[in-house]
Amino acid sequence: MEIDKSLLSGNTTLLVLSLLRDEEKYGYQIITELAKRSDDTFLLKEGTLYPILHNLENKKYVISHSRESEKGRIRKYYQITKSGLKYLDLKRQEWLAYCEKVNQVVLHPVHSMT
Amino acid sequence: MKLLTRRQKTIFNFIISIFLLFLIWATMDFPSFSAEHAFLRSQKQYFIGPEKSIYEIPLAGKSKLMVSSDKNQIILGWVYKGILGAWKSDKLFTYARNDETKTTAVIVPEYAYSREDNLYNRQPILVFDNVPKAALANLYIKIGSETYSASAKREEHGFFCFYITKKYEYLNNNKSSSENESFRSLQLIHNKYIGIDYSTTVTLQFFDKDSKLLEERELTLSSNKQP
Amino acid sequence: MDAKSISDWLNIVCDKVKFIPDRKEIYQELNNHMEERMADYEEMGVSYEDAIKEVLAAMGDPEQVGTELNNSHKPYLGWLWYASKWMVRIVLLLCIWAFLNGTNPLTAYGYLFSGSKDFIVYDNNYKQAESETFSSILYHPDCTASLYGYTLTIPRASLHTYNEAAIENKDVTSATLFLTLRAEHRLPWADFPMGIQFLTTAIDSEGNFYNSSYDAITPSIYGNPTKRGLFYYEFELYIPNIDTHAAWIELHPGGNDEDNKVRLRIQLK
Repeated sequence: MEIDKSLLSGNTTLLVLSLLRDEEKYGYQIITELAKRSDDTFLLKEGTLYPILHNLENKKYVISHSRESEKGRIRKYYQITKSGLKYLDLKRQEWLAYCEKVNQVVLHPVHSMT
Repeated sequence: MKLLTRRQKTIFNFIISIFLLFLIWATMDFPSFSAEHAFLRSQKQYFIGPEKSIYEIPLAGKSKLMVSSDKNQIILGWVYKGILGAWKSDKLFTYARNDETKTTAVIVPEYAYSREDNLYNRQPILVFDNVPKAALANLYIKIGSETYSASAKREEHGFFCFYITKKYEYLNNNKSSSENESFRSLQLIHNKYIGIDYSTTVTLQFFDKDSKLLEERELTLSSNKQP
Repeated sequence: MDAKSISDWLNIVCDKVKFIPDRKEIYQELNNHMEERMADYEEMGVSYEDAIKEVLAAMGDPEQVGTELNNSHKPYLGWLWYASKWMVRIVLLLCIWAFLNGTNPLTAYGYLFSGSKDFIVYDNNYKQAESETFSSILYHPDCTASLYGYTLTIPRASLHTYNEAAIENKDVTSATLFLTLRAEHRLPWADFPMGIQFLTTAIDSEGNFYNSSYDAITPSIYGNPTKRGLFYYEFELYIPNIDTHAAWIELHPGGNDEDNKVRLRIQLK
């Protein structure tokens, strides 16, 4: 299903950090994993992923280090930090609270007019 | 170690730099950063209450010969500039100034400065006077068989710096070599460490700013208290 | 602006990043990403030109990406970090140069590395010996004093007594006292307290006064600097013609000044 991209815009950080929660990943991996988990709904413009990652690194929510792959390519892996995990938790709570409130309004039973 | 953020790395780099700079300063035996400071430090080494310099005898090289005085003595210090542009002191001489109200004449010894400083043919003699109205003075001194004279203007803190120049320096004959000998013996005035206890007299004429003679005096050169 | 190739796209992005030293890393990271994408498309059998079009489209607007990246690579911190890196390199080279020069006595300012080589240490004076005409006693006085921030101690002292009565039938005994005076300071940049060799005076139990080099043409106390370390300096002082009846001798390292109550007492008997 096509979903309006504007609904996503505020939450890319949440998505990226969630993907890094379990293990460290490099940029390309994040894109593919995101696509896989969201059943191809979230096809993030790949170029915009990197500003997000660099910004997260600035804020010390993730840390990067370079490693060589089997094919000799140097990949920059990003790993979430403790403060990143805390931030992720916070954003998750926010999102869940937001969802609940939206649901409350949207799923409010229709006023029967009998 | 690689998990330091850029900000932490910057701070770490600055700390390392400061530590290395301290190490460099230590290797150079902690020189001072100004000639004045080196001079004051050398005074403290000899337990003389540090007196700021009041005059610098002009030298040709990279060193300075600084003069200061307190109520008991006249202090002469030689400081030199090393490879890092910082200063260290090497020699300090003090001359008795028994009475502040009396005039004291001090000969600047040859070993107060190094060869590069180029005072070889100009022997400085400092005279601390107590004639405040004096603006100009003449000095007459007999060295060997000749009489030398010099005149000088009064410096700010109440003293005169005369330069006695050799008469026969450019002639390579008997007169110039005997002149050199006489000047050399002048260096040995009252030298405690060599056990020399002789001195010589100088005659001074003080003039006021209208070139009127105020006073004429005769005194012996002062002895040094310690090398 | 339409990028026709991967390197074009990357260059547009990098141009937007104001902090130049970071551009290389950004170029590499994004390039690797696009290369992997290209490799995937190649596996799927897509043609080269189509693959490039797809990849560039997927990456997005290079100007926008560049601008956003620029926000994360602040020049201020970047230049500060860059400057700090170069500062460490330059200072490290300067340090090595200083070490090499500092060990060379011709260029060094002072004695830090040449150490005590210029000084003579009079160890022989402190050997205990006994003979008909000569005896030497070694002391380790337990005295300490503080002078201008230096902590003074006397690690060792030695009294040489010459008994000439035995040789020439004269009732003459004379004694010389040798001592090592150690001045320690907390700060490594403290200078050699040269005043000690010239200003030290002393009195003894018999009321004798020993004057310093500063006071008289013929002093009673002579001194020489002997050793130096980062936090200490040592002098050798010797007092010839010490009163043989003296039970103790007290040094006044600060000189004869009445204000200076700095005292070091050596118990001789």
